[in-house]
Amino acid sequence: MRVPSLTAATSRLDMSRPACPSDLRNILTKHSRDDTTRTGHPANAVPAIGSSDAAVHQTFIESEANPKLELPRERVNAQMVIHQGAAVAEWHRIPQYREQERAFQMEFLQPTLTAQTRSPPHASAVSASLATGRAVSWQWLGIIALIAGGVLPLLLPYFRDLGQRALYAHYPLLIVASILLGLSRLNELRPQHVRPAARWWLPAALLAGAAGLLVIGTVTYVRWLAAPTTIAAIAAIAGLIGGRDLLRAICPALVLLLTIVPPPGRAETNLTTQLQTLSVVTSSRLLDILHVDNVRTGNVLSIAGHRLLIEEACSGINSIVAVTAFTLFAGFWFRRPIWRIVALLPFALLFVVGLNIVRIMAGALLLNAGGINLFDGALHEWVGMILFAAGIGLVLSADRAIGLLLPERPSTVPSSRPSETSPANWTTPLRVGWIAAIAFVSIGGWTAYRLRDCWPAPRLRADASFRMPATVGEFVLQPPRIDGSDAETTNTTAKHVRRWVYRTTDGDAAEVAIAYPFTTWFHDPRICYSAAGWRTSPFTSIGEAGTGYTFEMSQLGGRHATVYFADFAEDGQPQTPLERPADQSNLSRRLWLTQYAAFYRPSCEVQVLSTGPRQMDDARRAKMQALFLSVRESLRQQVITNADGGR
Amino acid sequence: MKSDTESKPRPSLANILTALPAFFAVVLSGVVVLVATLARPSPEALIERYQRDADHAITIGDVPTAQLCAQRLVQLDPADPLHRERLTLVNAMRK
Repeated sequence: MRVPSLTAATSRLDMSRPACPSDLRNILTKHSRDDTTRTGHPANAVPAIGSSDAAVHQTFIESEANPKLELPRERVNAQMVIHQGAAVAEWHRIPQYREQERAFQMEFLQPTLTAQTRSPPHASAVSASLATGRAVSWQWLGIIALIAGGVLPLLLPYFRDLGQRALYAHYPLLIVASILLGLSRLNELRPQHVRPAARWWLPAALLAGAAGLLVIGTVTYVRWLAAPTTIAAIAAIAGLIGGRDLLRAICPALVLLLTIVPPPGRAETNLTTQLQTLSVVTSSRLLDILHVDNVRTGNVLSIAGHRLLIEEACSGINSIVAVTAFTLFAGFWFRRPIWRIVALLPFALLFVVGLNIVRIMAGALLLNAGGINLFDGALHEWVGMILFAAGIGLVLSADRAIGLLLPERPSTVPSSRPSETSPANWTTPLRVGWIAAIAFVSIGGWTAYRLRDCWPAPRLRADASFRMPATVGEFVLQPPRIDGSDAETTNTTAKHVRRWVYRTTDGDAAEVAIAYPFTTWFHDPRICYSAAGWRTSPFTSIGEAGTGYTFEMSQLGGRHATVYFADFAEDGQPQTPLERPADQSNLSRRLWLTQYAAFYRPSCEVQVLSTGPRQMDDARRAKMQALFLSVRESLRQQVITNADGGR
Repeated sequence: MKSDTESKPRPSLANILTALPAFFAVVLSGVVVLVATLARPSPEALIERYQRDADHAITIGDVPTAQLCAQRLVQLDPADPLHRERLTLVNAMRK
């Protein structure tokens, strides 16, 4: 079946003389006959029933009021072409023409209306069709709301986890971008193309799969499964409501949503850390070529008197996910072909790493030459934002360059396939939708009950206030340190860190830090120090279990350090290192860890770090341990107070 | 039949200018990779340079630079006891 295009019919208008209502009628009648001759049955136009167009209406009103009125041919022609269905629908509403055109309208509208409503034609049929459409829409809205409600108990903890990850902290923006992209594509979709899938069992199977993922996520406490569950459910509902066309329309939005789904096992951290290593190694080589003395230890680069990139040492390049997501969004928004979007992604990666090298090089050279430090304070933030904007600009520029080098050929495929004129049968899709909605709501209720105590949200705010004692034994609290100095600093992956420096009169110095929140399990700081180029020893416990731990570190350059640390929950309860059950397979160990993390209460970590040219003797060690125990207790009490909202 | 010039319209100046930053960025990246790979000083040359810089820094009392150079020398040639001795000396100066 085909859309009866009036373009050809209106082109037969004699442009040399004005149009009148009878001309319009003749065009439609002639077109209808042509179609009947061609297809063997009357033209089944599927007019946009109920849609109205003031301009078309006005055309007929004007011509009716003044039969001698000369309407511009172009105006009539354009309106007829643009408002094919609306013209017919509006025509029959003009009382003066209703009777004389009844036969024509019966021929034109009857097949569709009869098939849809089996009710008398004309106004009542149109109203019935509209009412049916509204009822269907409300039913689908109800189904979508119920399925969303079923997924939410797993989806909300998933979003909370994403918000804690530096790489994905921008996820709300990406959700908004996906919605915008989806809406823009939906607006371009012709209403007659929104028809339920003929093969309804495909989306039904996808919905069943999504429900299965939700069950697995709930049973195994894997909140990450909320993401594929949601995306599969959206795709399935789109398929049920609008078939292949609607699914294709929202596909770019779904692909964009995939960028906020981290790979399992936090593999993204390894990738970004490796990219950071690549940046630092390349920068070190370039500095050697430029005769700037430097030492690289892990991901930390040192030039005379300064240690750089300490913050990023164990976090990697954080803008990589954001720039990749922007590349996809821009590609879809500007309707680039898939090959062009895929070709842009390596460029995005190249630009992010390249700009990071530029940042390191510029920072090192400026610091070496003029003492300007790009790596600390507000300047660090500004440089980060400027480079992010530069990355986005370069991606757009690369898109244009690809367009110039490999211009797109005009598509020979028609933009829209002919619409089906058979009536939409919503019965089965709606039935499937309601069954899925009930299933999702049931699973969601069970999920909410089962996960009610899981993944508690951190209560300690980013701006929590901490006051450190002015003196602890021989140690005196120092004014805030000038950042970027050669002094060692505590390493951590936590989102929020506060640091203080204590010093004795005989030169012993120690940095005290509190880092929070840790939401998965006991944090082992040796991982971060290893990324910063330290060789660490196993840690040993001091005092009772959970009171504190200590380990030694050394660097190739002959620097030594001692770290004291302790983890405790926001209610002050000490946390102990992870003790995994022995003899577990990889999968069962992962599942065990996931369950452990689900019930882990958000915790804070207190560290005391002291560095020197040689290992600490027992006297210094005793002083450091006393400092650690004192500040640990002070900070623990303040954490409890802060977590209770300052009461 | 259309000629080639008709079928392939010339890109506008604005389009070319917009594409230039990415073009230069890619070329620059290639040059940097080549330079970092091919023009990298040999370990011997680096050792010689850092020894010279370390000795000069010790002479003028620039402890941070001396320490940095001594650390790098230990990294470049961990087996050489002279580098470790130099580092110990510099650390003592720092103390």
